[in-house]
Amino acid sequence: MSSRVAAALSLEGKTALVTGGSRGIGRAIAIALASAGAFVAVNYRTSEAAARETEELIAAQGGVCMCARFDVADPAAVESGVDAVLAARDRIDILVNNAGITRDGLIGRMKDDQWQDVLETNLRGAFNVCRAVTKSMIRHRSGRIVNVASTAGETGNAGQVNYAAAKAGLIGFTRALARELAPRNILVNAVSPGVVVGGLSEKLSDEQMEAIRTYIPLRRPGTPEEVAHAVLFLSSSMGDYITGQVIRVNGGLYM
Amino acid sequence: MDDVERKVIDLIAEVLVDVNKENIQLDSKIVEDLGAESLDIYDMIALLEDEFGLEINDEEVEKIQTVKDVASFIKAAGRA
Repeated sequence: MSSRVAAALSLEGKTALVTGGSRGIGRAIAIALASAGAFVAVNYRTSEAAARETEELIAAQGGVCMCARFDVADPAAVESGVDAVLAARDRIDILVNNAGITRDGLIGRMKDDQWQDVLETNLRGAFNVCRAVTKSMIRHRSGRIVNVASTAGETGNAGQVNYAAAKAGLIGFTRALARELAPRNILVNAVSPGVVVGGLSEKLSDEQMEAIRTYIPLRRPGTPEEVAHAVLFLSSSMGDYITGQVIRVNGGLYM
Repeated sequence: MDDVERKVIDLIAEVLVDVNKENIQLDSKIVEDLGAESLDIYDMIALLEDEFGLEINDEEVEKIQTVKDVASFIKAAGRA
């Protein structure tokens, strides 16, 4: 790799916060940003052991990180969690809103809390963390925000009215915030993964996976690392002129 | 000019990077004269709140026009 390409991808000296960073796509994103030189705050809510494992994986490749435990759906917890990162690092340059859950069900059978929990974590969570983090980004007149959406938010998915609504909402949120913060050189984009091995898609059955494969032009599910590469690109100076976009990492599933 | 007024001018200058600090007078109108946009106002409010340890609600912001209004508001809040 030429040194110019390496420099354009480098996140040396930057601080990143990755929500839901303990496993799956979030873990791959945390590792990718750390491998580009960023200090990474790995947020998690419940999976302490997985977060520690992510920490070890980052340390093993010479990266630096900290674990940051808070529930993105709880505004007060988000404020104090973000303050703890800012106390350690002074600023947050890159925010990746990745924390997400699924509570699938057909609409007639979907309970209020299934709807509520998914909206609270996947959509309100991103709002909570952005509100807390943008204050410092505005102050410093620079920043990158990458929201992890989903093909379900673009095409819909039976049994996922809650999840699809939250992810579609996140895409609208991304575009509005991109316009709002562009004057301060804060770039806001979404990465929309299709079917990815590990993480939330792990719950799909073999038959479902087989059916999905026939619809994916690249004929295979993606990996968390392949999603992380798009996030790294958007977080680096390679993405200097990209804002308000939805970058699809889906093997052609939806074009 | 008192300490609060001087500090307010410092903070406004810090937000409005394109404005020369010498041009920020007590009677300068923040939007009309200094060209502050909505994000600048938001940034100023956040800085003033942190610096003076107070909360400024949107209704109060509407009433503020000049640099002196900001300083007067802070002094009044300090006395309350």
